[in-house]
Amino acid sequence: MNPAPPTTQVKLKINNNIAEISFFNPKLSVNSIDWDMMSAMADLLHELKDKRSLEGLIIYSQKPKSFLAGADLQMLDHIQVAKEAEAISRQGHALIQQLEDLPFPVVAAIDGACFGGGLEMSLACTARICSDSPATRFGLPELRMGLIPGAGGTQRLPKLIGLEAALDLMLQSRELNALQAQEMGLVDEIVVAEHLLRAGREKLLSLRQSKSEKSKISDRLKFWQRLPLGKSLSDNSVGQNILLSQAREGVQKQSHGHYPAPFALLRVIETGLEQGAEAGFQAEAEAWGQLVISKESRQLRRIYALGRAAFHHSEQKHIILAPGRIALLGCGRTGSSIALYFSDKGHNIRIVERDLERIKRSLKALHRDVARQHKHDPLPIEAQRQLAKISLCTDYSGLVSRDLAIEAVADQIEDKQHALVKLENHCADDVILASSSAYLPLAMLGQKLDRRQNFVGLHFLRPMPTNKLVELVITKDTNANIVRRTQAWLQQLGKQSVVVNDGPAYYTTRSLMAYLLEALRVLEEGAAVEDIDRAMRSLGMKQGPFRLLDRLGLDQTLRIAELLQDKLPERFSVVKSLRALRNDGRFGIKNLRGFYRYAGAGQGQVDTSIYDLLTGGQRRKAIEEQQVHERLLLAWVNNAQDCLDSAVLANSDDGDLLAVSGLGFPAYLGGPFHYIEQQGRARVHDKLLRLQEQHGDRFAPAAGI
Amino acid sequence: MPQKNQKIQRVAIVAGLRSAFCKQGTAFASLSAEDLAAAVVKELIARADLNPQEIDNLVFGQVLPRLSAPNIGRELVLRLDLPRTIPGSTVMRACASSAEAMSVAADAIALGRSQVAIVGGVELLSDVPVMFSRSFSEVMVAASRAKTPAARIAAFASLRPKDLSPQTLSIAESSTGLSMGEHAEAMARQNHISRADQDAFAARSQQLAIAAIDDGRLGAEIAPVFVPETDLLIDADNHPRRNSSVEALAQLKPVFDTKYGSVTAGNSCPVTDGAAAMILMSETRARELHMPVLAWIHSLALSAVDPDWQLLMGPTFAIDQVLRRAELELRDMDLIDMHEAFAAQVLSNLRAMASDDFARQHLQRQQALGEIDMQRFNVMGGSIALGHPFAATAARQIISVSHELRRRQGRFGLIAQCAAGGMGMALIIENPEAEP
Repeated sequence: MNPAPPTTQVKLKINNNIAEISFFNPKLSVNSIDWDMMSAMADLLHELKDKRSLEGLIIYSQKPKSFLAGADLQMLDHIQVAKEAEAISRQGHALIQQLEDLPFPVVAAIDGACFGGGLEMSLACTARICSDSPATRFGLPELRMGLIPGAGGTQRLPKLIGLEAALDLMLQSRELNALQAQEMGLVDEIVVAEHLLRAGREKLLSLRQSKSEKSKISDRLKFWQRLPLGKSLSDNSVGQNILLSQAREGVQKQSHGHYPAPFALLRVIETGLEQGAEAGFQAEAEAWGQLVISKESRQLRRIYALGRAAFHHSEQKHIILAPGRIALLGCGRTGSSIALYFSDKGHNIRIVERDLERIKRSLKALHRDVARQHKHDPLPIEAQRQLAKISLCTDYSGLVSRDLAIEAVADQIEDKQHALVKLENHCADDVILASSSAYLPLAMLGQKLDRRQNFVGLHFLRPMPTNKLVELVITKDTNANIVRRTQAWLQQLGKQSVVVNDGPAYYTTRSLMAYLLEALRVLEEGAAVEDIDRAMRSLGMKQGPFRLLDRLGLDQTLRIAELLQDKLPERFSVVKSLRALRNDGRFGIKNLRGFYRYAGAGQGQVDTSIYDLLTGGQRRKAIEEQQVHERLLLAWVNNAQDCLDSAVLANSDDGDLLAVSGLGFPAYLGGPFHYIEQQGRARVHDKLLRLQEQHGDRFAPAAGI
Repeated sequence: MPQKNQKIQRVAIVAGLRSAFCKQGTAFASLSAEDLAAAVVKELIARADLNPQEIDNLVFGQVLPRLSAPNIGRELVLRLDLPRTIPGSTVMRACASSAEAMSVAADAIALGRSQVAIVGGVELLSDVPVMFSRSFSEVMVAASRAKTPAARIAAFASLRPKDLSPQTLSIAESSTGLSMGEHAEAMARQNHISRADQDAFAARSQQLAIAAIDDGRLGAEIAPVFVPETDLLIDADNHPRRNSSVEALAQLKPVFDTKYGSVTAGNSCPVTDGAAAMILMSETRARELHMPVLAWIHSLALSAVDPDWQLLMGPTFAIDQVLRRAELELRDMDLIDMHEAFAAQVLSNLRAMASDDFARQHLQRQQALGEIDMQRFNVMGGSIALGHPFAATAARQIISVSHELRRRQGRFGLIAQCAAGGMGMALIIENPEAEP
């Protein structure tokens, strides 16, 4: 198979009759499992298998903060046939079986990340001990990549920690820290990292003494898990069936059947429970092989790889900025999330507000948000430190030596222009000047600046703390060096950035607006809010368009729609209902009035009083789901293509990454551009022509389709 | 010790800021001293645009520390997430503590051991330690050393109800057994300071403070402090009285000698919460960082008198010393600022400084230090109006005088405090714009 360059080094030494196998990847920051490592490990285990006189074996990592972070996913990219992938899984099974079959106890001494194949390997050991380091974390997150654990994890984990806990861990791709892992029975003991190997030897000796070479499952269960009642659900077949069928329902509800992996996982576990471990391993390898080549997994892996590339801009590796100093003008919704995010990452931030009253309001909100994050009274030292990074003023003092200056004032072009000029005047010449606008024309915002070459747009996709993506908008004046410095900044903040050119509402906002406005049109034509939302969720959107509209704010949406209508009248026009809703004082979640109810009776339900504002009134028409899918999705895809054609986007991968990871475009579809590829340009073209005929010229196919 | 081949560095004050001073138990009641000091130091560093990486020392004054955080200097370093390599220390010279903090850090800079220091002081008298009796402590110690539960119970069993009554701190001199106010009464008697003079001086302090608030001079020195419990942003002193008058002050009853006394709540300083801080730099570093110099620290002196004599006469002796050291005369001082513990104490010192007899008897001088021009004395009010957070007062004075010297284009400013135990401290700062 693929001759991969040698990476992880595996070493064996024998001390005082105890064998130790250690791994170390000199090239990467983490240890990962690849061919070299697997074969080196297999050789060593083969060497050990007849040394019955040994007290035992300890496996550990020589890499700080990384035990074994799982398999190297790149080795899967070239596989075309399921059988080929299946063979890899079997090889993994064989290796781990070798470990399990050793004639003496084996202890995994875990310090740092222990994921995927790394965790699966440690499951086959007699005991697991781990360090108390915060870097020590456990998980089987294969589902995130559209896969299932392929090295025996689906079989061994339920046996070790019970079916219920195992399902939770794998289906939710949960990550556990050391304490949680111990509580679950995943690890037997926690020690400080420096004593890990000593504790490993102690553990081996005690295992040897107790003469049970392989500890019994029941020993590892908590006493209540051993009670008939506690283990009943996990350990008898009726209970198991209940758990599995509940899980299946949950998975169906969550994924709408778009992702095969969770179903495969349940099926494989079931096989093992019903037909025994051998059949289970067999089923696991087969399922894994098929998933590796499935289009869903391929897309999830592709988006993941694109995200990594958008994070590691190779050139920036050597720029060190921390801790940075930031100026921020305005501390409203966007401003405060910027302040919290930057301060949480250790940067100093100086906020300028118009008056003391606004400072007070901002401080109140910041304190409340930090307190909510930490849920402790009094605030722990970390929270105090975070707040200590944020200072506020009204007089533009203390801005001269800032590295990055961001305006986050209200969405009015004149206000933003004025704010940027103020920042330019008070900061040093080499400061990066940035607007946080999500849609306003960047060139126009920067018009009044003297140093337009230093000016960029930073559109942080929401919600800022969890959404990794940033649309880094540039104008024709933006200096390349400033772009690199900004990317280095974003990398340090843990953000993935994609450079896009200035254009009407940039890329993300424009394509999302096309989708949302189309949803509003379907609503105006008589459909019900919940039907449209349900339709889009069943397509794989995390939330329906109207939930999203409430979240974005209807006033904001109207402003963006007006701008788009002005700049791109052939594609956008303000829909009537939007204005009617705004005029009715509905701004969405921010004032608790939108398409849904956010307070009082019927909270979470559609607020049917909106229908009185729409044609058709309270009597809504049923709609065909297929039609909703087509109109909304193609409105999005067509505008995405238009952005590529007009060079707002540099390439289609950027567009796919932003759409999937930034906006929640269904990942199995791979993004708007992959969707076009996959469907075929001609077919998409035809569909668009048909929609154009039925619904108007906004559906006129983009040049590139 | 000076470093080898190191020439003595001039020390610059590059920035200063304080919190509002608020009466004990009012606006800052829900904060801790660390909260208050951290808020001021944070804004000080941010407003001065100082990169925290430049700081190499932090010295803070506090008279009544919380026992769980006795070294507030180091607490501030850690709490503010300043580089953790900055050693932080806490000094205590009673009401001159922030001047002492400045002195310690300035010496290190002058001798080349430090380049950039944060100094200041804080007092949060809403959060004073409450003490139990000595016998209670003995029981606690015995219980913690007990090896068996039975021994521990036995230790607690020896407690008596009276051991449990908490004792609050009183601001009394331990050597004389008298309170500060009683000492002020004694000084008023000995130096023949009338009630009317004391009240007139107190009214003056109030009027000047109000004027400095109204024209924004004091506000510019205050960092607004957010109090999460009340959601208020505190940016103004809450003690200065707009409607204070000699007549109104005359109505107040004496507090310490209720029958024949003259010291009232109106002509003494109130106890307040507050914090103040400054950035000090060596001349070299200030130039390298292009930091504008607010004032140079010119000279500094300490004094102490016998507490059984006139406890609060320290300032006169310290001023005598600092002028000798600076080879300057009192008339060279464009501004003079003396901490106002009591009007009786200020007036006693002014009288002593103007007296040839006093000079000959106590200062080894043939002539008096001089009559003070009241146009230059405590021109923005003083502790009687603004209040007195013990360890923050001296820094407050230094910051105000630094700015006022620039406004008046004066050259030298003299700042003095009296402190518990009979101590005094005085220092001279110089306006860099008025150097010849």
